[in-house]
Amino acid sequence: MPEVLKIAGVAKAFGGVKVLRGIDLTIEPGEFFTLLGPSGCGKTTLLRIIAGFLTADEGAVTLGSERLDTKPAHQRDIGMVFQDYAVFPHLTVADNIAFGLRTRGLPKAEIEARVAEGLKMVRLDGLGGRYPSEMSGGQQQRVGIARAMVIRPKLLLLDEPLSNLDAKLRIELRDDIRALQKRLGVAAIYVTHDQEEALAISDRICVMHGGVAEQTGTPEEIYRTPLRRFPAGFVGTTNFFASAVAGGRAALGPAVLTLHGAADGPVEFALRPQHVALAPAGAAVPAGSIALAGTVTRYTYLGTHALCVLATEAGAITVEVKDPGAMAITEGAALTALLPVARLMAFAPDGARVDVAP
Amino acid sequence: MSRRPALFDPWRIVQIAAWLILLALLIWPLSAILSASFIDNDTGRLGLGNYREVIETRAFRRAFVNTLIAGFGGMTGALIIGVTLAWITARHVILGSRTIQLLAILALVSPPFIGAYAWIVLFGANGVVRNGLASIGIDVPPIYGVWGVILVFAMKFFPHVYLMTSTALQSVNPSLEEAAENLGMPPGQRFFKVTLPLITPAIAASALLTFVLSIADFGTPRLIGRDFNVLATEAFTLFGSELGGNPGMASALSMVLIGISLVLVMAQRWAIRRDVFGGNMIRRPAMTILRGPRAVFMHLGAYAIVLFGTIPALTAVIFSFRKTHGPVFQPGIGFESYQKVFAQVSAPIVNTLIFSAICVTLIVAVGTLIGYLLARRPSAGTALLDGALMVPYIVPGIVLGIAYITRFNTPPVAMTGTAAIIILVIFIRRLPYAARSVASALKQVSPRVEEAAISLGCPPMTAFFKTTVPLIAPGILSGALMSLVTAMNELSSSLVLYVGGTATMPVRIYLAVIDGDYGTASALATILLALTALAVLIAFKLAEGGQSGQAQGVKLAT
Repeated sequence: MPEVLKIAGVAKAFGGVKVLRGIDLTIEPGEFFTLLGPSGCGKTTLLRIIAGFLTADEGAVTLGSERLDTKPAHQRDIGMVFQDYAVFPHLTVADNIAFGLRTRGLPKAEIEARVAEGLKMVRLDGLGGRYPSEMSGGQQQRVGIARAMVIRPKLLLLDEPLSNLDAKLRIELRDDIRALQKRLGVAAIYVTHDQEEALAISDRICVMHGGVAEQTGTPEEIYRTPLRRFPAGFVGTTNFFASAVAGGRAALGPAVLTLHGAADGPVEFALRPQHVALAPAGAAVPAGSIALAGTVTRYTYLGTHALCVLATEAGAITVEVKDPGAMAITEGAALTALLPVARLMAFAPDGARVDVAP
Repeated sequence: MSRRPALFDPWRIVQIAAWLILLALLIWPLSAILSASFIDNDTGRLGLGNYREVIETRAFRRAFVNTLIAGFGGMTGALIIGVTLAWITARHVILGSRTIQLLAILALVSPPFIGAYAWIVLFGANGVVRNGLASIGIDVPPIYGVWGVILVFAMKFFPHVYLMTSTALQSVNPSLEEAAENLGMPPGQRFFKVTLPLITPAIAASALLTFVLSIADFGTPRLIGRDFNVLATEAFTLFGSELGGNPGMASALSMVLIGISLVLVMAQRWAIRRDVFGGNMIRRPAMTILRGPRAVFMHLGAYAIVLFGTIPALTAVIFSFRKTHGPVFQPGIGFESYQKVFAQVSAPIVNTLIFSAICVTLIVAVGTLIGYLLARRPSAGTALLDGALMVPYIVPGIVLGIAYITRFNTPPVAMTGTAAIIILVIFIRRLPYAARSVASALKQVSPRVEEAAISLGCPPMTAFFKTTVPLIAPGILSGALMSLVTAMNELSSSLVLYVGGTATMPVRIYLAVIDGDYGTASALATILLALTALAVLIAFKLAEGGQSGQAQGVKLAT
């Protein structure tokens, strides 16, 4: 029966250092939910509290109507996939997958059936008799996934399961995990520091920083409308320009913009590189854009696009050039960056988003 | 939201039990000699009189200095020989390197006392080898005195250095040495500038161990030192003499002995305070294949060291088959010594086997659980536990023996003269080694493996026994056999604690040597040696068989 996982006011400190400062989250049944953040943000701590390997100092974790955090870890019925695979090296692949089933005392025939199903699920058919040491890292992690899945857990936790694998395998296994999770319909909580991975795999993402949930939303919401300074900088690439608010207005290059409800003091404007356009120096400025004149300090060709860094009066700005080669760009050239005001974001010193008016 | 206590953790009970064991079997007995050292023998009053006497009596001052000479001398000798052998065998392809390892271990575990006696037989005033050399014009001074003691210590304790250092040498990241070479450093210099500093923690640890063993040994100074008295011999004499025994003085000398060890422990900690070298090992260091004169030289060196180290054992074996008449050796081969052993002194053999079997069972059970605590439940509490476990390392067996007799002679717990007291003292002396070795084996296994089992529905203790224990089982088993070996050969504490019925083989060998009954001593020593060698061989086989499993664990952890 699908149940909602609720995390309410969970806080944890290690020796006086606050690692989690009151996290509230709701994970829907069947949802693929990702905790995204840099190392030390508390994401793994939160995952381990849900798994039962750590005890929260404050707060509660409930699954449906049942309190989860007062149960010992082994009674929680949660599948977990580990960063270092944690497959049992002294057991064969089949015995690894059967481990949780045997613990539950299932009948032999059922165990055999589920192990076969598990092997098939992760495309390791016929490798049940192997030992983990005879397998690649990717295969070992498949064993780890199958082992967690066959117990038909109420919840699946994945702690950076792909970070020890090479890039190509990472993408392949990522798609497999997502497909498998959707097919089995189990809610999954996935921890990663890789923003691209998070965007690709998740139904919803919670961006964490300094023990705080900064923003929770769909990948698109997080990327397109960051509500705070941290997600704006952490997910994707963003240009930031320091400025100062005086009387509700702040300057960006030659333009002065109105910021609704902003207190006097420092403020940061932000804009994604792909929203900036390049024009020859002195070209006409289209309506609704701010022109920043500058010189090219770096030009990086990346095939599908190129990145061009300009030094301007407002600071360095990175511009994504969509069709590299259409315009000859050399380092030292004088160019103008066009900043569409509609795309501009602004953040107060406390990280809160501030509305920009033209 | 309210604060909640952590969920119930069965390891908490283990920790409490560990503390109870340490308090009852270590701290409490040791407190007995601490308090006894402040009690005047004549007046029965409390005071510093005993310590004043240690400082004021010339013989005690000399014993103090001699203890330091024996400790540092034995340590230096063992370090030179041990590191040399380790470097030869860990980095070069040596034919029969496993034999060398086995011989080194045999040298390590050869029964005490018989060693000192064997050296006298060979290099004493009338020594076989010495006389032989003299007949071809080479004059070697007899082995007696300070140099003899140091030589015997060096030959007896170098295997510790060898084993610890060669392990460290095998785990130096070869990339670091290649980097040094790549930066222009010739191989000779590289050893001293890069490799040696990287293995200092292991060397420092073995240095401490050999020092402590050297100052704790009282058989060797007794038999070879002649008038070279050390604190251990003085304490034993003061405690043991029927008339004029002075437990207060013996306790004060014991405390001084513990004090010296403590200072050394702190010095060692200070010396390696910055040396925490970890790193990613991708490859093992390469083994150099030797050619030409270098090959001959290295092989000769390695074999000379281990064969010299096993001389006492070989001498015991050979002498055990000599014809005897009463205690006197006759020309020719005979089995009188063995007949006598089985007819008259078989009880110590049975005692030794029973005591050490019980001991090892206890050590393995308790040591594994404590080792787990140390490795997997780091906290202020377990750090303190780890510190307390250092105590048996630095308390000489004779001192702990005296402590047990002082504490357990009278109620509430009177158990002098029982087998239990001998078993418990060996148990507590060897427990730290077992706990530490389990802890280090555990560090090779990812803690996630156990968490995986828990998340799959195993209760914590079951998870431990189903996943972690099988992974470290080869380590536990070979550790158990090594504990068995040390338990069988334990002498110093048993010597103060035994009564007629609880004498063990090492005790009986000691008594035979003192009585001049060398035939019996050699026969008993040979039997003990055979049992020891058997245990060591099985330990080797187990370690080998477990290699694949362990390698998997290691691979997983990296």
